[in-house]
Amino acid sequence: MKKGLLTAAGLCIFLAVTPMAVAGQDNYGCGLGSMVIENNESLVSQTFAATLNGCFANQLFGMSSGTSNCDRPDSIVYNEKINTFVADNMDNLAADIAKGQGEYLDTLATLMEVPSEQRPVLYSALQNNFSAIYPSSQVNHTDVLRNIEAVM
Amino acid sequence: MGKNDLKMIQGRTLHALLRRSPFFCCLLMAMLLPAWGHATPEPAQSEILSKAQAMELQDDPYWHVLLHYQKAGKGFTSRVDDPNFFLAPDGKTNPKAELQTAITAFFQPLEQDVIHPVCRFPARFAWIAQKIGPAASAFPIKECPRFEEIYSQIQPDSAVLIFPTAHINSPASMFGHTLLAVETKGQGRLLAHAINYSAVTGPAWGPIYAFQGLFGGYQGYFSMLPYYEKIQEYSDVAHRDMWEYPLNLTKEELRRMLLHLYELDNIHSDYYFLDENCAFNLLYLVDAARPGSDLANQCPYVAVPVDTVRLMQKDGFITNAPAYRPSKMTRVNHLKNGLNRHERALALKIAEGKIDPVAEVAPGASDTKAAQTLDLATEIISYRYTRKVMPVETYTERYRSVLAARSSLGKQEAPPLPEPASPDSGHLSSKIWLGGGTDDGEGFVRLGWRPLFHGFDDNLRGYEKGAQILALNTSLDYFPEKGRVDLHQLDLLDIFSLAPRDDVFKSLSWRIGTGFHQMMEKDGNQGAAYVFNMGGGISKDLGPLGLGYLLAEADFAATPGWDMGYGAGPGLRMGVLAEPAPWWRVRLEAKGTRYALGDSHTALNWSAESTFATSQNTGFHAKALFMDARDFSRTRIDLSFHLYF
Repeated sequence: MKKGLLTAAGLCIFLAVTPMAVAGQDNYGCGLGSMVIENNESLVSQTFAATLNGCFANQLFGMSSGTSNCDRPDSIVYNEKINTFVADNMDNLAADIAKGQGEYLDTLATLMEVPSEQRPVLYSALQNNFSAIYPSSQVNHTDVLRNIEAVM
Repeated sequence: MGKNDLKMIQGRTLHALLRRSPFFCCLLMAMLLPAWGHATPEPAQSEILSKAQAMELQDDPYWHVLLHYQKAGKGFTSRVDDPNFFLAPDGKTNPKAELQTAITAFFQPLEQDVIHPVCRFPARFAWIAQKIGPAASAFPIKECPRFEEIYSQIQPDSAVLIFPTAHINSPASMFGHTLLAVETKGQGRLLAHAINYSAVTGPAWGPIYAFQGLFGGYQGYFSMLPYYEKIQEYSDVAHRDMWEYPLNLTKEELRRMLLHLYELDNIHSDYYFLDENCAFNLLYLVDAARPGSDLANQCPYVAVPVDTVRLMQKDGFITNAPAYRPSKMTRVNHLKNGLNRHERALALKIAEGKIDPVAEVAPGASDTKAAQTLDLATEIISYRYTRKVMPVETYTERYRSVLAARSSLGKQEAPPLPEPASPDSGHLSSKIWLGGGTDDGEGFVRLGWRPLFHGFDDNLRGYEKGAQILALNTSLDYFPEKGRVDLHQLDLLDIFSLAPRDDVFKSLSWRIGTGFHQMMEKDGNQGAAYVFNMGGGISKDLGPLGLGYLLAEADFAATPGWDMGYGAGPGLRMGVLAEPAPWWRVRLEAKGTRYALGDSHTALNWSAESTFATSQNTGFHAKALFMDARDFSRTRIDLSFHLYF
């Protein structure tokens, strides 16, 4: 009985790790373009997928899991929440920084606890340094956070 | 291995897997189930049991909310199908046994590596303890530490009901969807925790999907994700506008809601697309938040998400106006409307990589227009990537370079995006109508009924333009002169999707419909025939003229009044659908079918129809139809009054 349980547990952990490896091969890291993208399914299955809202259910209570498959920046300025947010919203945040405004930028400022009267200056500094924050298309969220810190 | 340890090991991935695989799910639940029994009855336990019995707690409506009981014959049955949701073996059908077993179980001593019943069902525990009063101090455990830890992380401050509208070009999703978002004070909405109920589906062939979805073949689970992930899913990728209705829940009510949600972690119910769906299951969370509310039992047989929004408005959970979150497609169209033809073409070329974005920022164009052009290019690039039309390397390179060019233009104010009417302001989902007209000079009276949902003959307000879904659309005509009643029409299902095609969105339009219609028979009379029709084509946005469309179709009809009893062949349909005023809708259509198989002949239909809304839930509809088939022709004109309910 015990052996069976151990095997099952082992199998679970094995299976749990596998998708991450697959994800790595697909080049979905924590850089630009790592958001969820649409499956090229047939119209009918897309229709019903949307209908049933057919995504795999996720863990119900796991908010603090962090970015398990991404590096953490070594700077202590950035807590796990900021990390997770930037990693998960790379593309939308980049667009907001380029425009000098937006909800994603506001959320970043909230997480960094920047008082609202200082935000216009911060936003404009980030916008003016866009190319320094995003020096190449291979930039990942760790680089972005380090670069933002350098601008501030 | 305890439940908590498991969660810490591999967070999201493991759980995602568990939910993909019922086998592992069962296996693990078996491992995690604590061993019952051997609980020696204590005096305090007997006291609480008899007190609960004297108070008849098992009949309290709130107990029935927490267990999702509904009346079934003389007794009750829970809508939850997972045996792990119950402590008593007959808990699914026996509220009293479940209550007593729960009280007994809450007396269990705390053991290492075993989830205590208080931690499996903290909402039940909190409620029983509160009802019992001071005697509850005899329970060995006062609260669930794991829940308290999560609760202090979330620090719930407010909750929002989220309504993503229809999936463009996917009218089967046009009922929309609902989810909840719980916000932490001062954190902003993006970081809210989205609570979602959805079916766990694997890859499946379309019709199988549909069948399983309709008849409970999939299992539904609750999930919790950062709200920004749901925004990416609906707004950025699926092109669904989102509406955010604030709920007026107090902190105490939010705590009760989360307590109940915690009990539903990893608990499944069979998912039924029509009734026990996402919108319906969220009602239980709201009922659990505010004792005395009874949303779930008021829900009509088919839980249309927008109707559950209205239900929450009626019962006082939603008192403020919703916030609008436009989808990527809406944002693209808005940006396009603010630019001239030259600027739009430029944005497209930049998005296609044919022009260097920096060159665009050359002197000439104003910074505002240049910024909008680049913003449009950015959205198009992102759209193409999410549609997998653009490989990730091209995407990241181009996206970054356009944004870099944009960043040199400073902060530019964009023209505000006009907010459409909110979904709750649209007509109700069911309709009856009464009217009359003449069919080739012969007068008739018409009575009609349609339980669901929205058609091109309804007022557009609050609905998705170009999307029609009709179920059981039925009307009967009574001809007083002959004393005859005809089935004029019975659309079992009719879906019509007009997604305008342009430079950016290469959308296709399509339709499918099946049911019974009046068709021209060999002798020139009409008779009811079974019909099946499907087609595909394109539609164009003609500005003030509305949506123009052209579809190639396939038709099949079966009736004893035809040679060989059937006819089948290709057809062509073209038309215009327009809204000249917010209260007025017009549709002109021509349709021709060449029945080549069976009863070979050609049929042509010309129609003009108009809908006038007189209020949110009333309106008039007029239609003129000219039919030409074989060597006969008929003209039918009718007018009816529509009432939505």
